[in-house]
Amino acid sequence: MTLQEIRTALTSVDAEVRRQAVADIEAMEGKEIGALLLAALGDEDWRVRKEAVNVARKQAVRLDILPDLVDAICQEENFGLRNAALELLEELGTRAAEVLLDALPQVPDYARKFVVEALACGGDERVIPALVNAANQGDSIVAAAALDALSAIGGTEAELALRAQLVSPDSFHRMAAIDGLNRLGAIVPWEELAPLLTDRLVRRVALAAIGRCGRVEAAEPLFQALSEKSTYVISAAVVGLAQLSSGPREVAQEVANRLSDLSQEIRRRLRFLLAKGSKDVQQSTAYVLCLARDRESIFDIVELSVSYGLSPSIMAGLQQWGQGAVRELLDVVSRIPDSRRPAAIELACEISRKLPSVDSELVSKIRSIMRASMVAKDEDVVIAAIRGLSEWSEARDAETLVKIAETSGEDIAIACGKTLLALAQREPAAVESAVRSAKLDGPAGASLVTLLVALGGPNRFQALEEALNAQDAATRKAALLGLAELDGSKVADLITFALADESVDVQMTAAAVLGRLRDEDGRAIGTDSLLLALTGESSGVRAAAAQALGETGDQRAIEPLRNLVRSTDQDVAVAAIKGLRKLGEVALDELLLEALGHEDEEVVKQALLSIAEIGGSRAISRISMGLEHAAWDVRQLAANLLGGLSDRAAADALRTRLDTEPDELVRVTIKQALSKHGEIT
Amino acid sequence: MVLFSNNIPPMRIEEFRLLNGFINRFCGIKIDDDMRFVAERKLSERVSALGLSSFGDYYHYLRYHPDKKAELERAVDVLTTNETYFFREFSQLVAFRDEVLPRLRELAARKRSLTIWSAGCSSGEEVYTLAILISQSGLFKNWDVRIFGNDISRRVIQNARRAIYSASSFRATPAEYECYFIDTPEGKMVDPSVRSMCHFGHFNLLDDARAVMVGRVEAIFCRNVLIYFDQTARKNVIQTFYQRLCPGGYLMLGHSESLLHDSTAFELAHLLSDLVYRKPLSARSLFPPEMVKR
Ligand SMILES: C[S@@+](CC[C@H](N)C(=O)[O-])C[C@H]1O[C@@H](n2cnc3c(N)ncnc32)[C@H](O)[C@@H]1O
Repeated sequence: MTLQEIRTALTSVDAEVRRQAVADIEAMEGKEIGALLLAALGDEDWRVRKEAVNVARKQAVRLDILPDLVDAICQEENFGLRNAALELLEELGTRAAEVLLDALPQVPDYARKFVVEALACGGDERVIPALVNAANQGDSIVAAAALDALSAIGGTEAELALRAQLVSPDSFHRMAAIDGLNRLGAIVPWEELAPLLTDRLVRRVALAAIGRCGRVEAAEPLFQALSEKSTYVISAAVVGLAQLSSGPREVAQEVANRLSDLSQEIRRRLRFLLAKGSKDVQQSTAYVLCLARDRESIFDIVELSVSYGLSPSIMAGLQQWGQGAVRELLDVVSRIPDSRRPAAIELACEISRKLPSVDSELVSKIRSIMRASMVAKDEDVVIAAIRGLSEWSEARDAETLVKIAETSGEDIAIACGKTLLALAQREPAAVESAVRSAKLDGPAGASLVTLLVALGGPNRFQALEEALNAQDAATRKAALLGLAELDGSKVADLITFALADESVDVQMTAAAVLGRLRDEDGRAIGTDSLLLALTGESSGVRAAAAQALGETGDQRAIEPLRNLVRSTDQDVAVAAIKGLRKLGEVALDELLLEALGHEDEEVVKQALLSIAEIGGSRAISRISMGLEHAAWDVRQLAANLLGGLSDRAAADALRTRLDTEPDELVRVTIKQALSKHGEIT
Repeated sequence: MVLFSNNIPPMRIEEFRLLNGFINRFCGIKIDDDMRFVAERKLSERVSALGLSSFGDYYHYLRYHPDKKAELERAVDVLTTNETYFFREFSQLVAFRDEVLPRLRELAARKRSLTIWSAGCSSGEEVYTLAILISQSGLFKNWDVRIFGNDISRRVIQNARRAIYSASSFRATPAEYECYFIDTPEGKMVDPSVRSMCHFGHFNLLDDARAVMVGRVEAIFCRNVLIYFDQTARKNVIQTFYQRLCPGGYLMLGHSESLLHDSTAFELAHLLSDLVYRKPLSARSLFPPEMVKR
């Protein structure tokens, strides 16, 4: 479209025509484009506005319309335009921060809140002083938005600014500040929190903060709060108690002592929260009730584990409760509906497994419940019971487990295989005799073949060879993996032939195994077949062959692999670089530089690893390119690699990146890398 | 590579983030950091079943293996809970029957057809519950009534079509509704008259192009689904709901779920015993669809 056509299309009555015109703006140049885009942001149809937001997201900085966007959020006539502009400024984040900061003192009072909201998303520490300023000015709506923004930005500076507001004469500010600190999960010293507890308005919100201070003084107000009427207060108190219990040992001990004699009334309230509270409150309440050894809450704890899973603290709480918790869980197994039974079984067994010792009477109880549940109708119950039996199974269980495996589906068979494997450590003869006559095919085939391999024994080869003819592909795959552990020259032809299997998965396994096969003299046997497999139909098989060629150590593979680095199949390109790394190929300069620009981050990561391994004068500048990559995992890898290179240029690159790196995990990695260079950040 | 190896190294934080991000982009579910070990336990079954030796390898599998699509579905299936039962959150359902359905009858009187969407319907109990309530209300005789259910898990959709349920699906079923089920040797089966109103589909709520298949609907139930999503995915799905609803249509979320933290154009509708969301009736409403601030 020409500019004129776009201009005309934007005046069409048909919203779809206008939307399309906006989409076409993206590729246009010229001064007028910014104005057209702004007009589109205020279009009466939301689809047109949405398209305009899409285009502006990419082009706003180039088209220099940031000041106009600020104007747009200050006008009061067109809400659609205002919201679209606000959304854009928020998304532009740090790039919009400067313009917003300049505008803040000048915009009319009613618009200041929006500027502050947008600044919250431009979140870095530069904007904090301006936000503190805004918080201290008269307008309470702006102040609330500013404190909100501080909590959205987070970090030490923002926390300090919020903490400073805790002594503000305005109770509204104190409340917003403590609320913000709660959202940040900030640890506020007890001395700053204690005065807030006598502050009628702020107390409820402050209660939610005191658990994090880790001080024993915090226990008393939290326990007191448990007796109050408000569900909000009780929820805050229980979350606080859970936090204290995960704090320093003496504090946790004090809380545990007091929890052991909670009144019935309070237990009842807590159980209500466990069943009906929000997700986080439920987790904390479950933990607290475990510490209180509350037998009646076991059912709801199982419910919680079905709905969301249990947090590590709850698991630790159950662990502390010990055999008592296991007994309660086993008791509910028979009383609850099928859908909950697997969770109860899993929990009981997981806890019992980690206990330092278990009474023999309890062991018998576990065994009998698992054996009964192993033949239940519900598949999940059966799987849970078979897994649960793993630690506790006896010789007599071997045959039953093989029977169950043979007559059930794949998931049950895998569970049986694992439990039999564990049993084989204690009772090898019983397991061997049970497996000997089993049928190595069907859903259980793969598990039984794997078990057979693990057991060793003289008849393995013959059984595995037979299993290569199984109808079930997973069984054939397991047989290949088993054959790989035998004498290479004896099995090479069988494995090579599996490259012609009808299942891609089996072919891929064959390729992987071929890479590792050696003759008696330690020479790779699979290279020729793998080179052939590089021309196969499936990219999965080509990738598996490329990677396996790396394992052969055979230099003949280098050239073909070099050609594959440029493959448009990402998995093949990744595998080719991996293969070349394994082969120690160093003459990859240009190829790797190209791979650094690949659109798939896994290819880039492999290239970075290769560059680091090869080393040389340009390695640092190239790896440093990875620090700028859009994907956090690439940046993290680059940081890690630079940490291992003792050169000032590496440290410089890391330090520069640390200034702008937004991702917390990557920041931590950069700091660790810098510390390897002897720098403390 | 050993099938059912028990020695998979613990899931590293990087692996967790890669897997969590990948799965989140696919289906919206986001696992909180402190639930990493739950994800680890659940996925380790998959890692060992595939004969892989680390969670990093599993990530690779999900990205590149020829069977990656099927595996991603399995991973989601393992990580999500399909927990559901008939007449769940009964008080909301009563409010729907007694207060919302009459309004919908007025709303759709001209076309005499009513379409409800149960988004994230799991094994179908919610879909059949809605059909039963509509039947019971007697308000839509000789109308075209359709209830669509969708889920990302093929397995649950197949169960939904089967329409036969065991005792645990009935844990909250009031006695007055027993007549809508028929005893069979395998469990209780939904009455064919109810069943004929219900239709099931396998698609991802994040796939707004596929969501178009439900057409325009008068009400959406999306209960106990969005709680597992992150903000961005919620936002997208809510937007899809907005587009699918006809003006004046209702959105019902689960108890303890709200749109409080989402920018949305839905308005709150106060029922006697519940709060639900409604798409504004007037197209010229001040609220532009996707982005009115709270
Ligand atoms: C806990 S169940 C809720 C069932 C029912 N709505 C109820 O309230 O009883 C959640 C369901 O959402 C489904 N789900 C999760 N993410 C989804 C997505 N992106 N698209 C479709 N379904 C999804 C899950 O597979 C699961 O069956």
